[in-house]
Amino acid sequence: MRRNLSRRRFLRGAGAAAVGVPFLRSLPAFAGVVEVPKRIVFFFTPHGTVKEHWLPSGSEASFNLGPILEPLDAFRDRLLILDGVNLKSADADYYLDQHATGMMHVLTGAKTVPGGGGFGYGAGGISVDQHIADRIGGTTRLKSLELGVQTSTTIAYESNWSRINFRGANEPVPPEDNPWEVFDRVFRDIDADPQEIEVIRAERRSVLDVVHQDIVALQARLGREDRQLLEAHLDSVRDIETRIERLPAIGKYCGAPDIGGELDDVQAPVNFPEIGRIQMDLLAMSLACDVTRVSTLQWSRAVAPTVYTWLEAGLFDGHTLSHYPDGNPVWAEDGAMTKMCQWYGEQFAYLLQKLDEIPEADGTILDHTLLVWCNELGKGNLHSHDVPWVLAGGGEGLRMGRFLEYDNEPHNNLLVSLCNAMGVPTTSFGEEDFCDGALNGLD
Amino acid sequence: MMDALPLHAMRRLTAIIYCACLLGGCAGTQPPNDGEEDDGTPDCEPALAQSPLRRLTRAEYDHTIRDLLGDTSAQAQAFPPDENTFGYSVGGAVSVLQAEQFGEAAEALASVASPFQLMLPCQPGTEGQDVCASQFIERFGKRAYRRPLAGDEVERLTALYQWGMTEYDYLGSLRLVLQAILESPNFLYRVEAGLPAEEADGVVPLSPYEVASRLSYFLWSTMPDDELFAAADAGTLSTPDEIEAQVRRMLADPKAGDALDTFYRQWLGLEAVEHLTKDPVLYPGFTPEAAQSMHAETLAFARHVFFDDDGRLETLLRAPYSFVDRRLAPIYGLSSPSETLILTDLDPEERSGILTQAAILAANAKADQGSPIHRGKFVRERLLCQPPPPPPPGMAATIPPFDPDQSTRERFAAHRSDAACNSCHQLLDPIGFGFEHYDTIGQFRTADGGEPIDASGEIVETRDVNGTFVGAIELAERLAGSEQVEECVVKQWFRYAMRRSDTSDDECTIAIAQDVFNDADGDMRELVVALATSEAFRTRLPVEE
Repeated sequence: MRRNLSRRRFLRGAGAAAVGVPFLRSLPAFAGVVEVPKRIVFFFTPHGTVKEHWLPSGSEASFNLGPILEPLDAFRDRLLILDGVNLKSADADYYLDQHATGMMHVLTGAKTVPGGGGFGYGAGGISVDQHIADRIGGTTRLKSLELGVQTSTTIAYESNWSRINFRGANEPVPPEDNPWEVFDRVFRDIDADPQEIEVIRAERRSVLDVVHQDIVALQARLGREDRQLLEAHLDSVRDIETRIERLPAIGKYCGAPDIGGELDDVQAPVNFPEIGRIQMDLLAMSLACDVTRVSTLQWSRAVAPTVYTWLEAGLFDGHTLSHYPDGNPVWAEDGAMTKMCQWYGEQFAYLLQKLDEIPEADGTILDHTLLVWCNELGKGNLHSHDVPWVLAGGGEGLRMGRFLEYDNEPHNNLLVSLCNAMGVPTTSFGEEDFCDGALNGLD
Repeated sequence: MMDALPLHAMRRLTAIIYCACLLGGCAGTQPPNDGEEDDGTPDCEPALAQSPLRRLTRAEYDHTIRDLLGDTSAQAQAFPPDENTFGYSVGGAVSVLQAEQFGEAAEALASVASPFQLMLPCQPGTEGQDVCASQFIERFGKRAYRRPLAGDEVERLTALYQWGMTEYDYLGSLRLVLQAILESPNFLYRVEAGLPAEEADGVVPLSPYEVASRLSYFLWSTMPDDELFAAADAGTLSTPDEIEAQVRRMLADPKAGDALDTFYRQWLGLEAVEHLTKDPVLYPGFTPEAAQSMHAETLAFARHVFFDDDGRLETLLRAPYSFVDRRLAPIYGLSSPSETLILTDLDPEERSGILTQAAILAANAKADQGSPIHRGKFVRERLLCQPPPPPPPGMAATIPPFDPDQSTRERFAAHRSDAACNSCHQLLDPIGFGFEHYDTIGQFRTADGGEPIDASGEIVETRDVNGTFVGAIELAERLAGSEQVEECVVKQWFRYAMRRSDTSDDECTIAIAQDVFNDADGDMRELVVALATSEAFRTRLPVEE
């Protein structure tokens, strides 16, 4: 039978009608993921923190949360709060802007290399999320899922100030800032007629086969660096090609969230909180549906101009706030900088809550997910790299419910521990000079 | 990948061009060498460079699709943002998300392309479907890849068409071919392999099709038109004269405005205006609509200078007019009912070219106060090509909070009294103080913090504009007469034209272009012609294994 090629994907704007339609009705009858997976989620917020209001008081196992982490109180026995684990590799990269080095080091621990970023330098190696995804992401539809909340408000020096995930040196992985695009990407196919899916798969396979061969043919005519650039492209094409063969495993509690109609401008500051909430709903459901096991949610970016108007705590962008001098009221417990950090604490708590509402095995998804809250800086007006780490949920060999104070440990060691917690045996990550194995004391 | 390699050992420069690197350490910064007097054509040999693959930027993708399919739905605006090199957009490595989006866009575009575009001029009914399909592959393919297809490329697309015919109707199969073409690296990247080197010196001329694409993406931000394709077919895109004739034709085409907009948006950092927030109590006139007008104003002004006025850098920096609508009128102290931007004379005592335009002043300021640091940095980076280094880690980097009882100058003076800070901030803040007549949204003011405005400033560490000045009008006049600024503008255009940062190997190419620019009395149109006809623009080094 010859048909006119029909498409489910329409030009943007026409596809919005599908949003909010639950797809469960057309799911195959089988349900349930056989084995409880390990998952990791990176949660990035920018501009450093206010350490005195972030630090818990008390001892390792018996502590009170400060105002910034106070929204997480209901989860205190599932947190690991780490102070003194610093981006030492970023400090050594001092010839670059410290916001930028924080971004490029926080998940890589690798020295930057000459390349495409705005300062003439790019991240120096693969980030830990991608390293883990390469090892545990092979059976899910997406090896990893990167979500953003206004990460791409435009200024010069794009990737240096706005990316934390990298496939390798000079290969940033940009997050998707538009939740409606994410919705399409994650939930669209599942609602379709299985026969039609098969037709479309065959068609995509045929097209990608041509693309694949074109890339290989082109590589043969080019120099080393261009070949390498095309190799990254080819890797992405391969990922999609092999994904076509993978069937989505659908969890028992999987269902498309209702995310409402598309907002006019996902980059408008006034939409920031709503976009963030929708991205968290989508992230939670992506994990519940086992679409991916490795994800990053990046809020804003270093040096972002976003003004937190909804906080009524003074009309300042977070970056400017973080550069106010010590003693200024913005640093006080009820000051604008503290309020901003506390608001991010509330968002983190919202995500934990979402995951804790989804049953899995004899617990919830939160029990089988390790969340890592990170930042590019410790204190903005010093450009210091004493990042306020908060781990939440659970992972292999991690004893939660504690507050640990370290004495200037390199964060590369923590990155090693995160790999191990995901069942990815690792002894060193990033720049070797700043790594001497897993971080002690997490177990 | 961005590095160029030296080819010719002989390179003596009359005008020493210091590198685009950071001003090291700041304390003890080397002032750029004065060099010898510029007495005519620079006595140097231009060095050639590798020609890295360039992936289409989002804007280039959308413009190219517009020209190929007549479709302006701007699919690429949903792609992840482009990467950036020294302020100019480039397509970076393709992530999984990006590759998916290329696929999505190709599917969507293939599904909406009209049958008319897919079939003409062939008649499948009389000439046969397979004949028409192979015509489509060769003709459409050539426009999409911007060169004739190689045999293996035709074979692959033909095989796809044949597979399609087992599943779909004729038109459906052509759509499938179109989808593959739009996902192919040959469409998504600009490839410049060059012709076989003719001479022993290793100079590789670009093929006529490659030159056509370089010209069209530089001057139009899109694919070549029929005339460029015809010139490439006829092999008449090799000599500087042949290229110059095309460049002058292209500059007269309305599409040149697209490229000019792209250049100015990037050079001047205008994107920053789009999502600015200002204190609504202090500045109720600053609305998202006003921000859009600011952005549009500077682009309209830049287009006017380039296409309708004399095209000179001095005019860009000193023209006492701009484009004003009813949203901008209050900022300029005028009243205007106009919904659209119209050419408007401004008070020459208050306004002078781009430096005093609202977009530049507002983007380089905070929500509640102007920022001499950022305004000074704007001049230092974008007009003097001396980006300052960032503060070292652990050093206090604080911004004085707004205080209505103190002037901006007083607040920022405290910040400069620290010697460690001042070693770098002396490069920025004293230039920025020259803008004290303009508040955070660019309104002219005569008092600040209860004091009359003191707009005295100073420029240091430059080749030829050191010294004190008062106010932005005098600053603009001084910058307009500076060879360092002239050279910086050449570099900015070079970076945009070549889609890479300049290195010391490019000094000669830049010096030659600057020479033409200078002879043409600072006419930027002649600078564009000079860059497009330069040897560096027409050639490359052999592919490195």
